[in-house]
Amino acid sequence: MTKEIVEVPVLSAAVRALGVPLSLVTRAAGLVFVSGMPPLDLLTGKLVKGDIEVQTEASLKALKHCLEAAGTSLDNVVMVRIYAVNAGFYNAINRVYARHFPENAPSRTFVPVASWPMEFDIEIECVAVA
Amino acid sequence: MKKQVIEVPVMSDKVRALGLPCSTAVKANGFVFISATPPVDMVTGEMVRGDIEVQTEASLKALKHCLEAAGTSLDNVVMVRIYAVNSGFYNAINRVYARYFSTNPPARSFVPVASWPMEFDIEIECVAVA
Repeated sequence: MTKEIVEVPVLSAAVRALGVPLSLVTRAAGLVFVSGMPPLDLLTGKLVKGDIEVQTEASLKALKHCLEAAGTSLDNVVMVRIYAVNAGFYNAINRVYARHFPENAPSRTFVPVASWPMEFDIEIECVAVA
Repeated sequence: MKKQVIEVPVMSDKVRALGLPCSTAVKANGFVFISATPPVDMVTGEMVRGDIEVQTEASLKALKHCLEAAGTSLDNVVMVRIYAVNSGFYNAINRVYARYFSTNPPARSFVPVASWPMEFDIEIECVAVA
């Protein structure tokens, strides 16, 4: 059994340009694994700035883009981990998140984190069925 | 549908009552993915208060309950993530945890987190074989 690396338009190139040792998406044994996605612009590959709702929306759009590059979709997501710098924004994050997962929502963990050395406040990762 | 949302007695109701866009347990591709469980009482659905050992015990009991609702068990757990607000309680948490996973324990990560905007100090998620 082997794993495949999925190339995601714009975003994979942005990661390579930063020299970060990760693949955005891997696929193996019928599952797709997506790295924690910060709020990235899908056209430019740059960080999206704004309040937590703007950032959450951008992270989820980037996640959707990665899943589609891997031939799957938000519907097939089974597990999500949200990493957030300020747990006080739980409700605001949920409001945006609920729009992207309106029914048969995946399992989920909300992880309050210290902070990244970069200008964003949220990352979202997931596992999906291929 | 490639994934199956599992109805977990008491837990699923509580999540719905809170209006959270999340499923307690999802089954797909031979795996069961359980959302991180805080110390929730499996009879009343109320948060269990107490020291870290009381909370850890309650989280693990809740996890066991979710696994059994999904037709699997603690024995079939392959990966656990413990999220804890105070990593100073590492030994205390391990003492309780070891009673639930005494032989062939799963892979595990212990994640010290900032804090949730709610009155509990630990959450435990897992992935199990269906």
